[in-house]
Amino acid sequence: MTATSDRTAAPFSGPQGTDDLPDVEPRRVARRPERAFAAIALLGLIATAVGVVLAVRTDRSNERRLLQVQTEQAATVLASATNSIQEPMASALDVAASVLPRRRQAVFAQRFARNVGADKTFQFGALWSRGPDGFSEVSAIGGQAGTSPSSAQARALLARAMSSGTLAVRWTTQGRQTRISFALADPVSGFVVYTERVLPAGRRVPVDPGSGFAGLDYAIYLGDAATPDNLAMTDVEPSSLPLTGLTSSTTVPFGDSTLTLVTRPRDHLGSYLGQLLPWLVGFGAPLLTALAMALARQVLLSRERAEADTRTITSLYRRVDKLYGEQRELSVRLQRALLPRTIPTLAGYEIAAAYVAGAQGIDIGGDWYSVIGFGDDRFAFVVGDVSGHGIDTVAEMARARFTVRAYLVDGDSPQVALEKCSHQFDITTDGHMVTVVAGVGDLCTGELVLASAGHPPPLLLSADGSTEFVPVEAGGPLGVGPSTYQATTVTLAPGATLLCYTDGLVERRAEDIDAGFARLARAAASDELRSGPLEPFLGGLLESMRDAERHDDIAVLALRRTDLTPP
Amino acid sequence: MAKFTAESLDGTWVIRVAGEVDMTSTDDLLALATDCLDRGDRLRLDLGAVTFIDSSGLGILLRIRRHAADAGKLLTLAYVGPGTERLLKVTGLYPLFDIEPSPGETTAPR
Repeated sequence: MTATSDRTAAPFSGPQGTDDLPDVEPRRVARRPERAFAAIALLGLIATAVGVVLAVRTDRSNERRLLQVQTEQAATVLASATNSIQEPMASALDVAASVLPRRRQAVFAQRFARNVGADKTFQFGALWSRGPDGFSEVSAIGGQAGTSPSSAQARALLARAMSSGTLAVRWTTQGRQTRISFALADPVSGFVVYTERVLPAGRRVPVDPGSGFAGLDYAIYLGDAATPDNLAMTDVEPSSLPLTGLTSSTTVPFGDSTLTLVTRPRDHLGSYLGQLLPWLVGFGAPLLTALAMALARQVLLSRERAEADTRTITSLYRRVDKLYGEQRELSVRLQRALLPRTIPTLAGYEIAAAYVAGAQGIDIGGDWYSVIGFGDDRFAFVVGDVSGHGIDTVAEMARARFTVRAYLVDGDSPQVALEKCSHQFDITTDGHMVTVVAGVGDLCTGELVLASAGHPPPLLLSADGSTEFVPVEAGGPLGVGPSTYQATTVTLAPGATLLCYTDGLVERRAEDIDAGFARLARAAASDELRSGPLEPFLGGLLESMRDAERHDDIAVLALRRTDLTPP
Repeated sequence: MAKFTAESLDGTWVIRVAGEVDMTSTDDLLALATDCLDRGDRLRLDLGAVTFIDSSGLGILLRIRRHAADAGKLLTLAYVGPGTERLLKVTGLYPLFDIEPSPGETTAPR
């Protein structure tokens, strides 16, 4: 009956399957940066264009609104200015109606004189009276009037003044001179005050910085039409009119006529930032885009570098993995080559054995087992452990295994075989310590003679499930110097099992070795395990003793005397 | 992994061994012990803080013992914990070492 279980925990993959892996994965990212840069640049340009348009439109609309507000203010100023024309004329009308007829001429001339002159409001003023034959002049100041009271134009103006009761306005242009005529009438008393104002030849009146016109260019036209003929006042060169660009236009009541005010901002009306914003966006956004591209480049470069590093590391890891796998494979094959291919069949006995490699890379250990049939009614068995790991240890294991075996085959008792071996191993030169339990048995009687060189005691499991560690006196391990060994005899009753093992089966880092012995005894005695054949018993025992933290390898040999006596 | 510290006390070199003494630490321990044995006549291995020792660790104790014996130097083990002591007895190594009894404690019989 032969049993060798292969339990090779392999954290590294074997050599197969990794051979055709490429060293470096193909580069898949070559064209990505250019695309990313193009996208960033395009987005940047679009954002810049949209930003500039928005900033310009916002600024324009702001300017328009501010211009409108300021123009309305200027219109208010202009409207109040017309009062300065109407007020002295109304005052003169009141006076004319209230004084005696004979004094009217003198009083009008005296009172109205302060309003008439080259640099005064009017250049001509007259008081006219309505008679049965039309209007006649009562009093006049400022020389010759541009229009006679009896002229058709004058009559039309006076009629308008009479009928409306408001200030009637008309203007005439002769050459470069424009003369505005005003008439204010009192229909009850029949008096009319008639004035004329001559506009300055250049029409240019600079802006008073404190006035509502501050910051504006303006042009004031008589009437609704902004034509050069109707130009009343402006602060710019009249030949450059009309005002162009951003302009605002409004009308102001001017007696029974109107004035048209056209304005244009001289400078930017809104905040400096608003004016600057389109430029800021126009130059800033491309700068930001360039910055974003530089950052993206850095990110992409470092990512590529990281990916390249990862590929290199992965490739190296795979190579190392492969090498380790090969070495481990070699070691495991060597180990297995050195273990018995078959176990001799012994009449009346069941034998099962297993080797379990440790779980640490290529560091396989030096545990072994042997069973030797002598051809007569005797047999021998050995379980041993060479300390250390790796190829050297496996080689040392081979030497120990065949040395012990040779003495036993030669007919030596276990204690003598171990004593002879103790002369042949030296830890100082070999670097290894070897523990061995060796036994010679009688097939017929079940009597076993055991000796131990520093090896854990075998476990004796009776048919009834009771367990006992065989009290073998442990001599020194092989390699520590010449030793002598004590023989211990134990009889294997029918149905009883002897279990020899290496320390890997019981040893755990977190506990005392006695706890490991106790656990082994409990596991072996469990009804579930010991009731069946030996091979599954051993498999189940190894499974129940399994330790995830285990580093060491395990060799285990079970020997059961069956109930049947040999023929 | 084990940790080692060495110091000289009254002419005796003391190596304090702590942690798990297994194949990962054996070379360092052997080198340190060899160095101490070269410098002085007496070496004490203080095993009080050892939590685990396996057959590789025992093997290194044996090699240190052989090195001391060959050089005519004195090696003692001190503060051997019950787990280590039991392992030394199971492996038949206990009689090979000169083990200092821990203060206030008698050596447990086999």
